[in-house]
Amino acid sequence: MTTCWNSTWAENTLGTLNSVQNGFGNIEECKQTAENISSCGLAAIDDTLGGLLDLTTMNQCIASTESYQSSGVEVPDCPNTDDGVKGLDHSFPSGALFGLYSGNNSAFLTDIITNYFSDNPSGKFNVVLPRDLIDVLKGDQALIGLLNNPRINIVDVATTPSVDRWMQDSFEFMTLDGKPALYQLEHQREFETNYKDRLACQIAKSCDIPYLVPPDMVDPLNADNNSLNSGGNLETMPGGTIYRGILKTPGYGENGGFPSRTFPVETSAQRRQRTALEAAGNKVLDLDTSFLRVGHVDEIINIVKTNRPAPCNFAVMLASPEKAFELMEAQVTSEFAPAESLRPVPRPSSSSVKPTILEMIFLSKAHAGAIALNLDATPEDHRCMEVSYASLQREYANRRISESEINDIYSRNCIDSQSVESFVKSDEFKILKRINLEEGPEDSIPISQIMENNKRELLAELSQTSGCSDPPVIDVPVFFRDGLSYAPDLVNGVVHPNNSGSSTIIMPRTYFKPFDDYVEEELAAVGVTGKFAHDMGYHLLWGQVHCGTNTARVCRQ
Amino acid sequence: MKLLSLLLLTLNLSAQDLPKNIKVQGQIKIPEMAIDLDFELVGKSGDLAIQLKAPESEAQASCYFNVKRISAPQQTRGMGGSIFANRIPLCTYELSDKNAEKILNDIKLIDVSYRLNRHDKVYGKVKLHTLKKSYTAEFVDTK
Repeated sequence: MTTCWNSTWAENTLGTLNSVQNGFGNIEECKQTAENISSCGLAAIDDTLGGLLDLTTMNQCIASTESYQSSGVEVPDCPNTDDGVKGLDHSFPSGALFGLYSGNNSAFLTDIITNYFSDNPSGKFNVVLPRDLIDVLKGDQALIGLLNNPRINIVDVATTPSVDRWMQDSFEFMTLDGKPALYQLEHQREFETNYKDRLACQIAKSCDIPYLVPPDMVDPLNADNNSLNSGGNLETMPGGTIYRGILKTPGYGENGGFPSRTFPVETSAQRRQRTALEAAGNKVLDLDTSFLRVGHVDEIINIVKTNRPAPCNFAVMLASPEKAFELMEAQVTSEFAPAESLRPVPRPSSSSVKPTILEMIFLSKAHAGAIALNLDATPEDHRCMEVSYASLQREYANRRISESEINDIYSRNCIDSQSVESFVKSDEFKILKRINLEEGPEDSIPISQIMENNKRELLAELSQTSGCSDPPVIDVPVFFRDGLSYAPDLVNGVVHPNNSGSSTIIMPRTYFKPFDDYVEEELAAVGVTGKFAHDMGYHLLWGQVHCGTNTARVCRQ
Repeated sequence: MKLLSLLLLTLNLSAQDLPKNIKVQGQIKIPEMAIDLDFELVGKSGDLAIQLKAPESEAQASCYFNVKRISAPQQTRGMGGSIFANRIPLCTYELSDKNAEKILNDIKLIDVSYRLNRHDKVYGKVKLHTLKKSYTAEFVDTK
């Protein structure tokens, strides 16, 4: 056993360490005690909600390995954790999924829970429920009805956590001694917060999961600044290698920027993290997330379990701007072009013509919102304005969109607030295509080249560690503006092995049918089920389905 | 156009998605231009624009870029916010500095990425995109 950084641990004032193993500390305040496994909490919540949660559980967060044994879901053997924590890849069953109730995300939770339960026979869904939102929940009878299920577990917290809905950002589930373990990560929103008040600690207590604090957390130099360490930036691939995103390409500077640094840039917290993970017997592969604003590897790479025989029983999903532009451009055909009679009368293009104040105000009032002052809007664009991302966020935060409504939105063929035809012809499209495919900022390589490099490195590592040298690769249509996925990011889904011997990925619905259909079909070709969730309330705040959930996976000892 | 500028500048930032106490504004310097540019997020109840202004008083020195998407630091992950703005058609700069005029009239998109420090001071980057070239400038709100 190695014990490292003990001097630093001793100076730590954020919590009391009761043990340190291979550099990972265990916090006394985050252990479950007799007091906090009391069922009074659930009784009080249920009472407030009118006794409608009589089937729901508390303190029973994770389905057991045994519960999967007769279900048709394969449970792989646990890795050896004598040296310390290890990660579990997406071929391990999802014992539990976690998501936050924020008071305005019922549609998101409903989609995730419904899809998760549909072909996962045992996994539990944990709703992190801020107690000050119980009155809001009280008014949502549809959601309460869904939550009244023995597979739903409530993790109650006093108020909305400082990390808000982003379940991936401040912790990750790893495995230790055959069971899930919570791995705390730095987060600037939890700056100087005692461990006992952090979301991960509260989940650890409520769920009786070991709560581990890695060495980088207690290094005062890191101090919860934007370290790039995150659960979404700490993923495990088949073969066991942990992969992360670091900054390898100069010029982008999306994530705080390091103009004077020598690339690649691994933050000091990431250096400490790698050292600790390697000391625990893990391999770490760093990929390039330079062009991303958030900077997490789960924005651009995902891996799904397929129904093919091992070792090539998985497929790699990669964000592909090429595929996105290809699919959008393919839509601009005579079939989709509006009739000339429907086109607006072109305005004079003379540079001497200026909009009047009245014109500006009138237009802005007529089309308040996304493209309020677009003087060239076509009738198709006006139909798209009605279902812009912002509109979908507002209208459907708490009401699940029906199939007919989804089909109606699909039929409009929109990219956000514009018809795809207008979008493809726009200057915005041309500029985004240049940035994504042709040239990066300050003479650096474009995003597509960065993704090619990532693909090469990822496949080389997979070949070495999983024994599969040629897994299927799915080019997922995702393109970026200013470091953010323009449409909901289809890569950023949550994966669970299902009862058909393959897996299901729940992805954010883009509401652009060519994107959603393409990915669904590509996944089906390798036996994977693609499902969708409404996540506009996440997408517009820089995250998606995976960022808003976290999975505790189980293994067989 | 001057009157329009005055009108917009006197409005408070009250867009529902934008914190009231945050002003996204600053001065940016692009190496290819001899002049400094002022930019500011202006607007009213959901209709927002980025004003990009050259320092010439008698000329057509301001144009507005319609905000297409906005997020504020209190809502997003971490402490960052972003604005996507697209050029409003028909607005054309007329400046005595013809080099600056050419660049400004070629700008089609503006991306602003901003962060808050612990004192709610806004700082960040502005990217000005023409069809063929992008310009990046850093800013700190010193007002």
